[in-house]
Amino acid sequence: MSSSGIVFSIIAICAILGGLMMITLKKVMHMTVAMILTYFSIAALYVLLTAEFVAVAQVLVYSGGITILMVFGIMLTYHKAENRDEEKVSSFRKLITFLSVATLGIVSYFLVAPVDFVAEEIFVGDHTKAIGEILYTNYIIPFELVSILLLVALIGAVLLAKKDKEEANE
Amino acid sequence: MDALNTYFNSYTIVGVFLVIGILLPLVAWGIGALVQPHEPNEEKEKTYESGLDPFHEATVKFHVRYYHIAILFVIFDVETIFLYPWAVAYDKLGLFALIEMLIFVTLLLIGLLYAWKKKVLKWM
Amino acid sequence: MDLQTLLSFHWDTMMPEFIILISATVLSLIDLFIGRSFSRKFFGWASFIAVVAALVSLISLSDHGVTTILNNSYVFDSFSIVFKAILLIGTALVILMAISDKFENIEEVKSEYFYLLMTGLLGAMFMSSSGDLITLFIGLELLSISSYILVAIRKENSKSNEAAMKYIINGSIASAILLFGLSYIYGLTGSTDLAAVQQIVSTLSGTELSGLLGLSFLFIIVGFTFKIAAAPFHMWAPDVYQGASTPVAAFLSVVSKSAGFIIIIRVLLNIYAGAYSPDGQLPLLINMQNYIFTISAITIILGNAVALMQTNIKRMFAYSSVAHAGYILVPLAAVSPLLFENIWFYLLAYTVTNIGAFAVIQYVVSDENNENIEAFRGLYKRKRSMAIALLFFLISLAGIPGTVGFIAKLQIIASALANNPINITIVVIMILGTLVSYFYYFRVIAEMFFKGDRLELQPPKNEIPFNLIVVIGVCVAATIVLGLMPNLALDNFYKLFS
Repeated sequence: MSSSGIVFSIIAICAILGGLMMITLKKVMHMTVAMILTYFSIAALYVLLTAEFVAVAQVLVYSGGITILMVFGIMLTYHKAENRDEEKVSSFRKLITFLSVATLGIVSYFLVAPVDFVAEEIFVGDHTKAIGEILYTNYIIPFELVSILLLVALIGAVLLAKKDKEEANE
Repeated sequence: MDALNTYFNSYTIVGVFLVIGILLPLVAWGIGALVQPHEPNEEKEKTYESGLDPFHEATVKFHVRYYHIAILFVIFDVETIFLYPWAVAYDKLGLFALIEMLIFVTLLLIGLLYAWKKKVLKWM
Repeated sequence: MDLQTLLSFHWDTMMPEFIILISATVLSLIDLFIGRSFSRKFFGWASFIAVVAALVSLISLSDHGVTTILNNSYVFDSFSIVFKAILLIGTALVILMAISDKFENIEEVKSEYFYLLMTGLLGAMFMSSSGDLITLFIGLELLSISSYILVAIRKENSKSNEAAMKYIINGSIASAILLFGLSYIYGLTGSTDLAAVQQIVSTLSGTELSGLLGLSFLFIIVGFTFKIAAAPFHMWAPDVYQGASTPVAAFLSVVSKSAGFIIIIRVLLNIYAGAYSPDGQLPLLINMQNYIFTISAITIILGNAVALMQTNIKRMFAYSSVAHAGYILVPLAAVSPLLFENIWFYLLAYTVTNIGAFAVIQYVVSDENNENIEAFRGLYKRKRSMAIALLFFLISLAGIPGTVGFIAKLQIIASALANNPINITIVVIMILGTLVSYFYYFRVIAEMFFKGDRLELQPPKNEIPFNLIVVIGVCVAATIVLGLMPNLALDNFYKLFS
């Protein structure tokens, strides 16, 4: 295995480990930290592909923004339920879930394994500029749609988290 | 291939820092655990609250307006991501890109205005 | 790319989208600058006028000819015109319904209610006229996020909160799976432009890569079946329809579902019809036909069977809309040559009848303050016009001759059988499903006409609001006229496609 292959394996294992910890840990704060591990691992994968701009965006939005949002979400709520005895999931359901996930994994493996991927020339250079040139010429329409999407998301977040009663009393 | 090597070599320092960052606390804790005496008693295990006896729970429910600020932050964070490649590639893009970005920023300004008018930015 | 090239595109074909976008923005600004005490009543009518204006401009553009802007990011062809017309008609009727909608905190959110319906419509319109995977996905997300907020907008109702939570979590997972599938397409072809993708996938035939294309099909179909509420990804529908206010439920069952079918047709036909299976014999779409067939069959059976057991009218209609999604999948499963026409006409029929039915439900439920089927008891004796209108909608949904629902079902069955006699299985399932659906539709009819003691019945407390009269009137007229003369709509369809 080449050196970049080894680095890739380590990072990929970290990413998967973060995801697994995120769904198995019991305390929400621990889950958040596990998720940050996944976010950073994915950023590292982008760096490995020389996509530096995407890596920085990943760190800025996910590891920065989304994580802060989650931490605030945790601080806003009580977590008494964490200490409650876990609800029993029937073993039949567990079996079904395991079988479906395993089937998907095996099928995907046998579809991917025979493919002989050709190594592509990796673009080393000013990614940010290249992205800017494509995004603001060919992808104008989705770009403007994104601004509407963000506006709707903002309005929705404010609308749903705001307390109407409190304002009416003022 | 040469450019690629230079690229990866420039990240070596990040790797070194990562290793040091992980090792430092591990070593500190490890040595601490090895040399410290272990004699726990009730007083020692209490939460430290500036000398007072702890009297209520450590988890305090925060007000929802922290969340408003956080969501505004995320949305404008995403906007910054879009501004950055635009600024870098601006000399190649010309007038039309400026108009596009103005539309984009205006739509998000409406969002800011919305938050302002709905008194989200007011810290009561 | 210089300014000259950009200005040479036919931006005027985007007029309907611009009208919706600008009026939604202006309405949101007006809302911010007029005082709190000011009545927001006119917002509904203003957004209704905007949607109708967009419809008019779409019709006036209909002889413009095929135009594409910026590598297919925006495509203006006959396909997008006919389907956008359905979306616009559906949303216009939903907005009219919403004008007299009542729930706990309506006064605080009245303006948002209308412009979120419009941004949802905008997302759906981009889904129907884009040939680029990125634009399609962002359109889908715009529609989804607007719908999540619309479902959650009844903040003081615990049912609605629960529904919104279920909807947003399941919806995000479905979107993520869909995006994963689309990333396979990009990885295999290196392009997001559907026309370019179509060319490249045809060269992949017979290689190992077409196996991966099959895998991407699996993920993509999972994401889309959630959107159209087809089994086994329909579980959100009953809870969400029950929790959301009635116009929002109508929006989800008509506009959101139509948008889902539109994007299915665009993506599946563009990518998989030209690709070949690993052995290089059949197009991948034919190869994967069995999966669509199975989904369609399960959807029809499950939707109709579970609808029989419902006592809440909105849950019953949710399962009925699941069953209808199954019927609309039949032309895709059968790969009929008349696929566009069948799906379009069925969606049109479903739009007018289902919105009409929801309008009656909205009136009765808010008048009785009861969502159970008993709320309709003796409606014929209490409010004759409402009972007769609902009768027409129910027999059209059930597919009884003389109504538009019958014509739509007949077309699907006829063209499925004409294409390939093997399709008899799915046609039989569809007919059996329709027969089962008679039971629950007729239970409501029996409740309205034959039950209830004349002496015990109370007359309705409220008059029918003007806007609901308009909606119900338009829908009844469309149900009957298109049922007797379907060529009124189909001639226009053929004119565009010839």
